[in-house]
Amino acid sequence: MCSTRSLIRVCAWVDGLTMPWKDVIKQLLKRKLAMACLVAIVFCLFMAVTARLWVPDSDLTPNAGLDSVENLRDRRISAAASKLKKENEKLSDDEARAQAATEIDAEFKDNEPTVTGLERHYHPPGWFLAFDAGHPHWEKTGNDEAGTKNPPMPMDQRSWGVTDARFWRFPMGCDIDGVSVLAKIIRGLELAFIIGIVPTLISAFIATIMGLAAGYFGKWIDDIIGFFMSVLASIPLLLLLIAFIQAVKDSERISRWFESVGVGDDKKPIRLLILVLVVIGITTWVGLCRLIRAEVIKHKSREYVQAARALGCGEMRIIFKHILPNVFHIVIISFTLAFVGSVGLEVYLSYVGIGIDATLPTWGQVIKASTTELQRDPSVWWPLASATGALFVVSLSFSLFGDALRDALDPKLRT
Amino acid sequence: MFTYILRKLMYMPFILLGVVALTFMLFTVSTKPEALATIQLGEKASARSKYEWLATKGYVEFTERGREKLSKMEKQQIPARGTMLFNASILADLASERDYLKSEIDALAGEDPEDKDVKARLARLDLRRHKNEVESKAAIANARQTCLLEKAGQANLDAVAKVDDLGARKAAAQEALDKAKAAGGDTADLEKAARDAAADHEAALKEYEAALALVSRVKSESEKITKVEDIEPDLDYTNIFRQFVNYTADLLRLDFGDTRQGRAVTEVLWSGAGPSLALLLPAFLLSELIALFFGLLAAMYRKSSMDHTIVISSIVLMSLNGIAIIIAGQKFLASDWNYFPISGYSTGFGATRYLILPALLYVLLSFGEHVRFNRIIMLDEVGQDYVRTARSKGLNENQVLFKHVLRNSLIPLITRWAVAIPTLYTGSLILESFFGIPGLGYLTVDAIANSDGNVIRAIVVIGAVSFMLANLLSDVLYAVVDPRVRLG
Repeated sequence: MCSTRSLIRVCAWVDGLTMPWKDVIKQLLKRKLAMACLVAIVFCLFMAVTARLWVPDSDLTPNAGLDSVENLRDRRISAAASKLKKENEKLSDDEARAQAATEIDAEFKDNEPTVTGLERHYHPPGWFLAFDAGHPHWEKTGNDEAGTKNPPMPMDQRSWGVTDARFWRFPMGCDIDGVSVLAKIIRGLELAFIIGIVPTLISAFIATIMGLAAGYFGKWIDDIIGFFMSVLASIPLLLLLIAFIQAVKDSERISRWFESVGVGDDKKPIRLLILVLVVIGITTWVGLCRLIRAEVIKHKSREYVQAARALGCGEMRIIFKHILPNVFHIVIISFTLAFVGSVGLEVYLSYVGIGIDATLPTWGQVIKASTTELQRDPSVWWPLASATGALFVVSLSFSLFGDALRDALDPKLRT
Repeated sequence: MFTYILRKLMYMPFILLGVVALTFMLFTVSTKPEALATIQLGEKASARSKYEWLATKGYVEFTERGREKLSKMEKQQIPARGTMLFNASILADLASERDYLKSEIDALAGEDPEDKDVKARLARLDLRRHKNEVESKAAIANARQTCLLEKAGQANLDAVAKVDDLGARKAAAQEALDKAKAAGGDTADLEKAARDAAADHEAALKEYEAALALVSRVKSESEKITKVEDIEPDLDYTNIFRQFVNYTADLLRLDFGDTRQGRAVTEVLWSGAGPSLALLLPAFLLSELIALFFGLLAAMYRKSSMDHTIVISSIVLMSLNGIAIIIAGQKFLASDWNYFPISGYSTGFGATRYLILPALLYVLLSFGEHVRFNRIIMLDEVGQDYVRTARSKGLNENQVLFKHVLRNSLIPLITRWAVAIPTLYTGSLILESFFGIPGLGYLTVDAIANSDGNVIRAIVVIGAVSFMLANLLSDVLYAVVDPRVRLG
């Protein structure tokens, strides 16, 4: 590193750095709104990474903790035992239970107790019920042992006191299956981050490579890449995604590759999700590529590039070490916007029914399920409200932070 | 400018070809030509008619043997109903799947059989292998039968079957004769009948022997077909380039095929365009006017509380998810408070009441982004020198804004409007499907749900073409509206 040549090279590099990162960060820190958004984003990221700690898989099964087949069996056995005791006075408690148990087990062996036999009620958020003691949501769904509809919950069992554990059990209510909406939202946050980051990374990678190549080399490489960009940009994004996903969904080769990597047939939702994310990444790189290409063309004829070339730097070195750092701010800005776009796209795809399996607890699936839930009487509005609220918070913080970043990085666009 | 337009128009066919190639690749990967034929001809069409249609379309080509088989089927020498037509690619797939499954199962044989994962995988592979076996066996049996029919001929097979029948008749006639003799009646007729029956039986036996020899020879030949690879195919998929050329030729003739219900896609698209435009044209105009108005307001009262409110509300509306807004709007405004009908459509002017709510929601959905964009552009203009000049000349604020700023900020806006036109045509998928408006968007969602490939393909191609034309239009408009810009 002591030779004159390498020193001059480093000077040329430093001279070409038009992006003063220290100033950028200082400017960002000054804006309070941007810092608040950054805190929100970091918090969401933390929750997403640790989501499995807060919400283990068991919390997402239907009727998690509310009612289960064992409880139903116990109730039936007690009822049958008391009936047996009434008929035959001499039976002791244990004998009656044992007899009842054999009867009920025999009955369950032939036909599984269906979900309608399980007792459950879709619980609105606890704080909401505190204001409404007579709310129809205290109706219990399902049928009791005799097969008649369950009576509404007795007054003394209704809990809305802040000191009651059941009040805090469902801070955002629970949905039709008895799964706490908060649990779904937290797991959905984890999935939302995956859905936001993976396609954006893929598309940023493709876009930078294509943009750098098209901008720097020009001529026929530019024409070819421009052709691909036009073809991809001409097709409406949603139709392209749908066509792509339909094409690769049942492909034999891709299934075989998945099996070899270890995501077998039983993990079908994850397979589909990975496919969808990759497809979104492959199809949305065009906008960023155009921006990068324009910027690279501007930088190509600057003096520092000429100086580097005069010093004997190879083409690859010039592109990746000199031009790329000066173009990178565009990638960062578009990252935040593309994150939001990707998450919104997932909601859209879930609604149309393509690509996201219904068993994944993403926010899009919650919103999709809420269309039927809203039609109920009384209407179940809290899953929709929670999912929209969570989506709103994430979108807002990323948008505002992206705006602040753009202001800090690109003074010309300041408003 | 005309040379620019001409040049762009010359590039267009290449890009269009690229779009068509992309859609072609995506659709050939997901649908087999047989599925296309099923969509076109209906579920109940026979395999033969499907393959004949595919041959006319250029997807499939019959081999020598296949054409022989077809002509024999037409001349009724082979029963048309029970005979399969064998596709070389499908046979090859069956064989390769069988080999792959065998190798996978063998690979798993070395692993621990009690392991849950291994057991599950083995079960799945076994299921697939069973299915493959069943299909292969059916194909082989049919191939043997066809070989028998073709080489031995139906007549010979009938002869083999006939001889028992004649034998029974001879025995019956003989019995009748004996009974009559025992009863002592007139036996002349019965004797003649018995002699005729015996003669028939002799002749039949001779035929039978010849036929039997032929059949057993052919049967031993047909027994040689033990594996799927031994079956001679009757047809094969054509070269993919030929398929592509035929596909493009169809598209150029605007022949998009039929939907699953049997209607022509062109007709369906044409009938869907009306409701789409009826909804989106007014909604687009309204939303653009409102966005223009608010952008101008924000630029007018820069840094005041009105500006801040507009900015905040536009950011908030941008962050709220569109689908949630539509669901909430439909529930509260239509379902609960009954200001508007929930969904539906009617033709003619009666449709207006069904379109108000979707139009309002469209305005709400596009408000955030458009207002933000407009505000940025107008603020850009307001900071320019000519505005300062106008103010210093003594023009009042209104004149400055409406006469100077608005006109100059219309330049990028017009280009954006030109590019938005294709989206009007393709319809807003979500709005239409939520409100049951039978436009192109609803059609697309329907087609996706039914896996109706022809409709999706048509909409993609039309969307691409209109997008390219709209881009060209926006470039030209930009040059027309802004005299500083020189095209090309």
